Amino acid sequence: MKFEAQLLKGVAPVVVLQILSRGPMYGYELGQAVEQRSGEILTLGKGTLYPLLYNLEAKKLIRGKWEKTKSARKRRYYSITSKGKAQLAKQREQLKELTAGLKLVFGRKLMPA
Amino acid sequence: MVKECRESDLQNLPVCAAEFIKLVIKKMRYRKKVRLEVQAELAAHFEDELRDCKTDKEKEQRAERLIEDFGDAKLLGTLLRRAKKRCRPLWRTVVARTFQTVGVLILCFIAYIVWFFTGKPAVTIDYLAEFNRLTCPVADESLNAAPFFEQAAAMCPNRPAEKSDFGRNSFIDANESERQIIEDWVQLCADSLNLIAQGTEKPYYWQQYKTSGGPDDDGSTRGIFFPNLAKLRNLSLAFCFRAQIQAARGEYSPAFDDLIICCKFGRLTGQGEKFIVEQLVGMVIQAAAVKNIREILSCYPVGVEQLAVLQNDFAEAQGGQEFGMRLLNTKLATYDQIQRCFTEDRLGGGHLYLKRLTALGIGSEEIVGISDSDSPVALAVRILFFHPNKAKTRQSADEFYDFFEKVFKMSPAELKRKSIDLNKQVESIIKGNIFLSFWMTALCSLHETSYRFKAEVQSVPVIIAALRFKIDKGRYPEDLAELQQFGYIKEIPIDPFSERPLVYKRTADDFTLYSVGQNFEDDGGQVYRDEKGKLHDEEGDAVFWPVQK
Repeated sequence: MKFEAQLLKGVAPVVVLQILSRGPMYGYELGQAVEQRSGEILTLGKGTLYPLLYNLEAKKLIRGKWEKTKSARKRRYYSITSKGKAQLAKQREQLKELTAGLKLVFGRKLMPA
Repeated sequence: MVKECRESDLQNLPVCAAEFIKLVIKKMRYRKKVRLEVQAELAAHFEDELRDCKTDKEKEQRAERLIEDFGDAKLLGTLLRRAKKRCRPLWRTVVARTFQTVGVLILCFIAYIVWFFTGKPAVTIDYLAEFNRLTCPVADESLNAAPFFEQAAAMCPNRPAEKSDFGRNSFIDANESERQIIEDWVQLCADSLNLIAQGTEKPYYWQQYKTSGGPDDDGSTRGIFFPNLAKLRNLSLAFCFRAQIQAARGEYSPAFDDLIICCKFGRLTGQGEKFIVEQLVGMVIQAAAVKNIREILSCYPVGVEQLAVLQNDFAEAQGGQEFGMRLLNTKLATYDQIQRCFTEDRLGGGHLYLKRLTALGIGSEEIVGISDSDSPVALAVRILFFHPNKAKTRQSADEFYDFFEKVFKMSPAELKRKSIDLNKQVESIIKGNIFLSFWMTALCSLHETSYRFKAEVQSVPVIIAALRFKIDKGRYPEDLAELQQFGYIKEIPIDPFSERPLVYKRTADDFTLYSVGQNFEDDGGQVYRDEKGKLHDEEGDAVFWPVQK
């Protein structure tokens, strides 16, 4: 597995939880949101997206529910659960510590030019 | 909502997208409801992606890019299945696992049953040949009494049918017509008796065991038959009757000669590595001779010289006799049945071979180890799953016979002193083993029988010695020590039921000699009779003198 893919695999659940913490979304919408909000740096492969969503649902970190959109189309909306919120808060702290550690290791080189 | 997610989901999508989704769903291999949900979700994803496309061609191109982005359909299907499985509620997981487990168990059970019922025994040892090797003590056939005994049995006329209890009553008690029948029959047996007498001059008696050759004969040791035993038993009766006839005529010496021959004959019949039934017949023949010696001594005024000869001959005939049962042949017969009643070891598993068990009639509720509460289902479960296998059964059989080898060397009194309960011990060794419960001989009762017989044999020299003492001294001895002191007996016989000397008591004009018997208590020389006047060994004393009718 490539380094980038490994990194993404590790952070993808946190990213999804973070985006869902701002409101419910369906699968396509979520994929778009990840790309847009990360400045197209993070891209969830479509083959990864749905298994990831189902895994988070299995862990009861998010909840899926079929609803009709404004255009009367059916979509499965995912929203973060209270357990998911707690998990997100915990992982954010861990990410902060990781980032701080990485900065100490790489110094200015890690910072954008 | 879910019901609406059917074929219609895919109608508005390009063919390639619809095909891809169908393939992913197919590869998911999961519950239909879940698959339809995923299908609807993927279809919605494609719809959203293609929403802005204006032409069909554009839709096709973008759909193909998206399919490429989704990756391998099979891998995606697998990942989706795994993820959805994790979403399954606990109760559903439990139910699914339970059904899976039950299914696996049923399959295993079916496989086990097939394996169980297709197993066959492997007969690897010819125990019949082994018996014939063991039973032959020497190679020299000229030392074998068998040719004489076999010829005597072949010539032996049947017992008279007119007298059904012939052999139970003594000649002395018979009426005139009965005496005539007995005398005629004994006359017919004369040639056979002569042959037996010649045979008893040989030191050994062995024969080649054969199976019956009948329709049920499977070549196993179970089919061994003893065609001569009943005839030999008849001839021992003929000896006893002839002795009584001679005694009635006052011919005591030939009478006692016949009874001494009968003792030797019984001893030869049972001695060596023989089956239990042969040893028992040998014992019965000797016991009949002993009983008749006592009866004649009781009824007729035998002279002191004849008594001395009788005592000497009896000691010679009985000298060095071992009274326990020998179990080697029976043990080997059990081994033979084990190899036939259990499937072969290793792949065969060494489990019970039901076909043979059924043929043997095993399954009776009376046998040890099958309680009354065992239902047919419980019995089947025990046989199928919990019955000891061939190796363990053989181990238990060894334990059983080792135990009895030791037990037969101990007197009943010693067993009592050591608090050894034979029935409990046997039950603990063979409990739960249906095969052994059925097959093991009732050795517990044989133990008492063999020691009762020993006490009877030991009583004879004492009785003869006391009668000699009376003739010599004009009175009976005060006790057994006096008999020994004056050299009438070499040693004082020990009662196997008390570990003390046989009980001798002088009475007004006679004496009493008895063993305390199977209840181990001295009942003062009283025998126990039931309402019909029949003697019972379990209670009271075993009285040897005065002779009990």
